Amino acid sequence: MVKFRAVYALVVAAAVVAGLVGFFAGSTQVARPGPPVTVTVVRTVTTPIPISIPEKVRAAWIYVGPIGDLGWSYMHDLGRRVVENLFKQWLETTYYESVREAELLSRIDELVRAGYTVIFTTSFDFMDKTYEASLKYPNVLFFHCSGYKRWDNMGTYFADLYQIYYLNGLMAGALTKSGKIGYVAAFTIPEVIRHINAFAIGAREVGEQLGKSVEVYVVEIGAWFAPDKAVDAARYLVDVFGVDVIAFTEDSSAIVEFAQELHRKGKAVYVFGHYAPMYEYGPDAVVSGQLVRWEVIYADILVKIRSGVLNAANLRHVDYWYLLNTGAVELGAHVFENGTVMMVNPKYVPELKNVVVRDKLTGERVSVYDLVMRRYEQMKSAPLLQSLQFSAITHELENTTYVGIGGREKRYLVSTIFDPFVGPLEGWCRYTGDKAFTEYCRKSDRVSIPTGLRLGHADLWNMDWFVSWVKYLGVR
Amino acid sequence: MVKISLVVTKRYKKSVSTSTPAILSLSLLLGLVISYVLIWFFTKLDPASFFSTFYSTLASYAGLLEPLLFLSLLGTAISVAFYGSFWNVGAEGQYVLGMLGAIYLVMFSPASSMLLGSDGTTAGVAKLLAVALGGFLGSLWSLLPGVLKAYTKIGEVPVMLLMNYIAYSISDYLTAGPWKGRYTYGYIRTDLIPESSKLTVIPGFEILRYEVVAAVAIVFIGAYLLIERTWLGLEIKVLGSNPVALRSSGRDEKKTIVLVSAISGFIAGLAGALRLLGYDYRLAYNIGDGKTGFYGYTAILVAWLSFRDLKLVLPSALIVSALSSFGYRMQMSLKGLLPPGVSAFAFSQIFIGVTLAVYTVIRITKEYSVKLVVAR
Repeated sequence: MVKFRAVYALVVAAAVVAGLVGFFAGSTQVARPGPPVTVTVVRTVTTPIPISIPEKVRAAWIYVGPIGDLGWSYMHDLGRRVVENLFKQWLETTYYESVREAELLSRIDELVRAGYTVIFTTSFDFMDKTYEASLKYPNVLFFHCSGYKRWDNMGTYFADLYQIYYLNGLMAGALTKSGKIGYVAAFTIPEVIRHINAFAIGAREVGEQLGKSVEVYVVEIGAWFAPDKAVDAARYLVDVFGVDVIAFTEDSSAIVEFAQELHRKGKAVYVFGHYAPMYEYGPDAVVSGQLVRWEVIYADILVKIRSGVLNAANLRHVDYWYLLNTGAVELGAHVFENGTVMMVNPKYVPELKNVVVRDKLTGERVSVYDLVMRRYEQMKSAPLLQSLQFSAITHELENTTYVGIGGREKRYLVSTIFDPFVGPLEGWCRYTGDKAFTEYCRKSDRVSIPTGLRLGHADLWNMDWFVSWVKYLGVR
Repeated sequence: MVKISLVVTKRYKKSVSTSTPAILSLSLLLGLVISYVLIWFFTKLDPASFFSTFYSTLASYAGLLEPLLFLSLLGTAISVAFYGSFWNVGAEGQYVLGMLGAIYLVMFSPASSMLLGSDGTTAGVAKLLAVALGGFLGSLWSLLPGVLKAYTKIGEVPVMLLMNYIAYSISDYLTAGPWKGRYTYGYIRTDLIPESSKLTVIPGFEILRYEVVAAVAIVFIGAYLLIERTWLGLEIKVLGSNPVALRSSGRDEKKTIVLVSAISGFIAGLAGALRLLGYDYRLAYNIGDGKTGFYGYTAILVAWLSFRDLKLVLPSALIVSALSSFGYRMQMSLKGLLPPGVSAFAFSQIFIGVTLAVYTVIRITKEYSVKLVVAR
């Protein structure tokens, strides 16, 4: 017995010592400058990655949320289902849902081991880990949605809704009685700030002409999917600030259902569906909304992979930034069975046709309904723009309205003829100093865009300021 | 008139003499079979792909290591408390407090600027202090319900469940307020911790960190020695099985409750600190929204599976990690068998649930005899 105890104690002591040594060995293995020593350098010779045109493509999607909910992940998965069935001769797909950032690398390991060579990661939070994985698996093609880190085998893509929010804003400006408009924001990141501003610009363009003093009240909820918080914020906006129109960024239909409930009780609060078709959840309250079609981007990427255009060596500048002109986003809150879109709830069409305003581009007097359709066409039609929206190299040209070409034509229309983000615009910085993302807000806490200046890709992408009639109410 | 009653009696003579490892294995096997039948009922999934997926889950062990390590730490924390019948359902909150302690030390404390210069040696000290502070805060968080239980007889379970939410709220308050980061692109989160304060990746095993592996070894052996080789361990065990005996032998029952709560909380806090320094590197808003992985709750299952037998914590943690990883992998096999748009995620939770249910049933029938009595 004594002998056993001694052996036991020895084993335990050894384990503890080993553990402690391991701890400190680990802790102190930080690169630090030391005395010069002779080091044998084993140089890794990078062999060129053999590029061949794949006969079959195996693609996997990694979602941050559940696909059952009507929002972000649901719409990405809808895109996956479209391409899977369309390209079934050569495309095989799979997905993981509700993946947390911390476990992303494990999930990617599993997918690579299972033979998937194209991986889409669809959350901003996945950016750094996707980048790590792209270095680890140089033969796999990674596409990250909504980020900005790229590599030879890692591209980025995004479909942005700001033009749609502007169109929603035009209708909001016509329908509001109080002039007070609410916005429930997931986070005040540049994407959402851009959407709030576009919405506010549309609302004021119409509201001001009708003698309303338009103000947009923003509540931030700190989560992408939080139906309870979203409804709580919406109720706060209605009860305390008296807003009668609400737009939002939150991945559920909760706010739409809340507005529908108010309608049933006889209180008219109008709402715009977000991301997925939400009309059915609030047929009385939904005026219109924003829809996304990720399949437009997924189809493009996969066709280019299948035909050898995109491969594991050339994704460094691939950065899709698709707007209304590409069809990747759409105005509306309902998709009919035959695939067409209901842009405006028929219930509100007569009212919008009755309100007459001036088109600030032409000076003509038109109904708000016609103004919405006009702007829609103006932003939908830009035949040359889509090529520029494919690559990080050409993004800076996206705000080029015309290019001078001499000759009889003199100039050529490149971008959309209308964009909501054209000066004069006055704003205030949400983030200032070294927390700011744009030069405007690094230098000052006010922003003033001169008349006629059209904001460029970087200004839109990094937007860290609100237009002056947006009131930020903080995190709730 | 028919009277049906369920008669449950404790078996005093342990007539069913199955050992706990045997029960574990049996539960796992039965759990898998029952889960398969359930899944088959909805999807008609063929058995080959079901069992080959399970096999490949175990075969690709790398994905299991990270949950295994943290569930082992937290499972040990909770198991130690279970020995003393201190039902630590607050490990989740203690885990969060551990994260707060660690990030405070490496980012916001005066020590951070002193220790995290270019010199690697003091970075090691900073990490050790950060882990210690995490453990200390975790033990404070557990001490409160411990003291309440010892001196006021307020049950620890509701107190701890509430305190988990308070821990989430404190973390959210700090993340959205004083600790909100600069380089977060508008998201509500802290900045990343300094590079030199991150734990060290083991080359070849990207998912492992030296310090975490070492901590698991130290904590596990330490807890084993505490329970099996010390007076305090004996007191804890007596407290759990026969508190009256503890009192009548002149020992301070209250002190034992307080100590066991503090020790359990310390381990859970330690786990949180290691998590933050080794994997998460920052705090994000809405931490209660799954950002902890709910490891503090999942570890209760680990402790329950290895009920009052520390040796079984590691195998139990392995079973729980494997079943949850298996659930993830099953999503792939189930895709296409479910109607489009229906989430396969729900199915991924079946395995843990069913296996635990089987385990519980077996345990209960082992210790109690259950008879259905129909009387006229």
